[in-house]
Amino acid sequence: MSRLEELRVVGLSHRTAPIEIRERFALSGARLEAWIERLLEQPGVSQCVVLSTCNRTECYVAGAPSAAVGRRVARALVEEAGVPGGHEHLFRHDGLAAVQHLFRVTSGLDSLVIGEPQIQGQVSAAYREAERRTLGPSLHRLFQSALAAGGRVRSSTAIARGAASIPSAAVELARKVFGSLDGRQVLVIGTGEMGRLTVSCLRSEGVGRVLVASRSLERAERVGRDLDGIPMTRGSVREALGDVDLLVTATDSEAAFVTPGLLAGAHDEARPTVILDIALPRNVHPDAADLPGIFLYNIDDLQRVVDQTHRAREVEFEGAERIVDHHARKFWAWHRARAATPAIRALRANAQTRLETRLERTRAPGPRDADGEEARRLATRAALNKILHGPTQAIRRLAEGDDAAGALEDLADALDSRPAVPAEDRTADRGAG
Amino acid sequence: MLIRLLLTAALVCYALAWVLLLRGFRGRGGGRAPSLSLALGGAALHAVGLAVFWIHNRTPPLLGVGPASASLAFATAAGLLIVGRASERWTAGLLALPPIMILLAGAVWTGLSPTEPATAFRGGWSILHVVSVLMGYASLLLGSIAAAMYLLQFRALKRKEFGNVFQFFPSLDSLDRMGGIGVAVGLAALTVGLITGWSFTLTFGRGLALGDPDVVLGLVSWIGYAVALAVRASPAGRGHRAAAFTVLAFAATTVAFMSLKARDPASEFFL
Repeated sequence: MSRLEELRVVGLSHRTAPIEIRERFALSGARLEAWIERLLEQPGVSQCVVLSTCNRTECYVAGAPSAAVGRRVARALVEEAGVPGGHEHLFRHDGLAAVQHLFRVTSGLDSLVIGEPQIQGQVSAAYREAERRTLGPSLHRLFQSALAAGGRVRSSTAIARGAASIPSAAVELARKVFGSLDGRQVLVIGTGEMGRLTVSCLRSEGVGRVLVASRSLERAERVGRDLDGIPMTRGSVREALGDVDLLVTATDSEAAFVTPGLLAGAHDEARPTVILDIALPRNVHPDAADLPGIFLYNIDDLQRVVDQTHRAREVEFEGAERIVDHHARKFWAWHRARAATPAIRALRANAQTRLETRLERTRAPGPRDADGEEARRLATRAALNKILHGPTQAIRRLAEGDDAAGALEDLADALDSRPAVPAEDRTADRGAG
Repeated sequence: MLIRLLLTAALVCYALAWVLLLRGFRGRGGGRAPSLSLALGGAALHAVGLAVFWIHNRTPPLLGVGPASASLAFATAAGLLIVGRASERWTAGLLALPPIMILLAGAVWTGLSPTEPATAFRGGWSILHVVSVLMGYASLLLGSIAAAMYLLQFRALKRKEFGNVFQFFPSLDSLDRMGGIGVAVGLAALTVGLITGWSFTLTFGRGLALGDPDVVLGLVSWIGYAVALAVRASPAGRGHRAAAFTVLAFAATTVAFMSLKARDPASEFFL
């Protein structure tokens, strides 16, 4: 009989490798396809799921319970990446450790930014991709359980709540004022990197028209193309201010050119306006915050939102770990219990055969009483099921133990090889005949 | 006994739902979805309890301190669940569940037998009057809670206090809508309640009964919330100003209620 498949993971992440190594190991498109083919060709690998994101490349495999499989996968992965000495950045986990690792990854507990939600989608995509090929019951159940645990962690704890980066803090603040950002108008003054990132983040939240203002119209046009925005010069800002819901300032100007006077003249106080001043020195005079309807935040405020989120997530970390551990162990018990199946099958088949034989032999001579026989058969089967319930449970419990594999194999072999009609029964038959 | 048991079970569900929300507010646990489920369970038990009351007493649970409080609590819980079905808005339960629990606990505590007038109170006209008034007060209460939450969130955003209120409360836009809908629906229902009430008293030749504590409370509430709604409808009235006037209307209603009760503690007006 075949032994239970071993689960293992081989890979690297931001914890074990710097970005210049991680990018060499990153797999996508045709290269990922080719790698999966190659992985499945490795001796001892029967199923695999490959997770490749900007922070990790991990190969989850199920197959022969031999440590050599993990070494072969690691060697092939280093060859694929073409990184000399790449081994030193790889980690390998087998069995329960591999299961716990995947559950932690899916829940965002192993992420660079704890609790970040994207990883759940990335794990789900990797699983769906593998599902198209040959994904056996072990990895299928493993990934479904990991995704369920990830969902549970996010719904039962505050680990994923709040904004964990400056651009997402900007979005969070805007959302706390406007709710949905759908169709909101944005004016970004300045063409710096942070301004662009913030507007990209806002764009992904569904903001409507984006106006891009710069001292130079050419530069505004260039950035406007990237952001799918309308270019304008800084001189036209005053007219535009009346219509915008969000103002992002990110210029290298030495003076605060957005003054309370400028805003008071252009802004409708019944309509809230969120101003995100992410420039240093600040572009917006701090007194503008006193105007009704104006919500002004600078880079320090955004950083405080991020810090607050990190603190809240750290508080929740322990609870999230407990949930992950509980679900991982639950999966592991299921996985181990599968090792009991052959022994249980053999036990039941053996007992069933004996019962059928005995019933046949004790049938009274003469015409058959079909109904009576059927009733007797059903009653004895029910009794047999009751008798076997205890041993079945005992075998399952045995399978959950660490050193049960050998004992279960021996048990299944012994039950399989036992003659269907025991010797004493055969002797009795002869005597009766 | 069964009615009391069902309403007590509903009270326990509401209390657990509130504890989960409070945990969430303090930054511990996800809380919102399980809290919403618990409150839904509580509302179901609450509804069954009121239905059993109706079947058992052959009169709706509308008159008498206990039955009316239980019905008002149910109307408020139902309104809260309707607006709070979106997870973000369910956080309003943090402030709305305590009055619901107080009303229900009061109902269980004072007893749930219909009073004498209630047994004679079977006309459709009268039922419409009381149901409208209860719905009106429930909706105005929810609108006021949304307005209070708006003011707290507004303060947190203006003062850049990114703590529990900022993290847990819904957006200003969401709270503004909740407040607006609560006041508009509540005022409409209260208007129907006042008109049907007056029609009832006029039919029996009692005039407008302007000295009746129920009528005084109804009028004070109506005027207060009508002003809040008018402010909301004005060009610069939405948002902070509307929320402030809604909270003022709630304060005026509460003061009126307290004064009326203090003047005549033995009065039997329904609360």
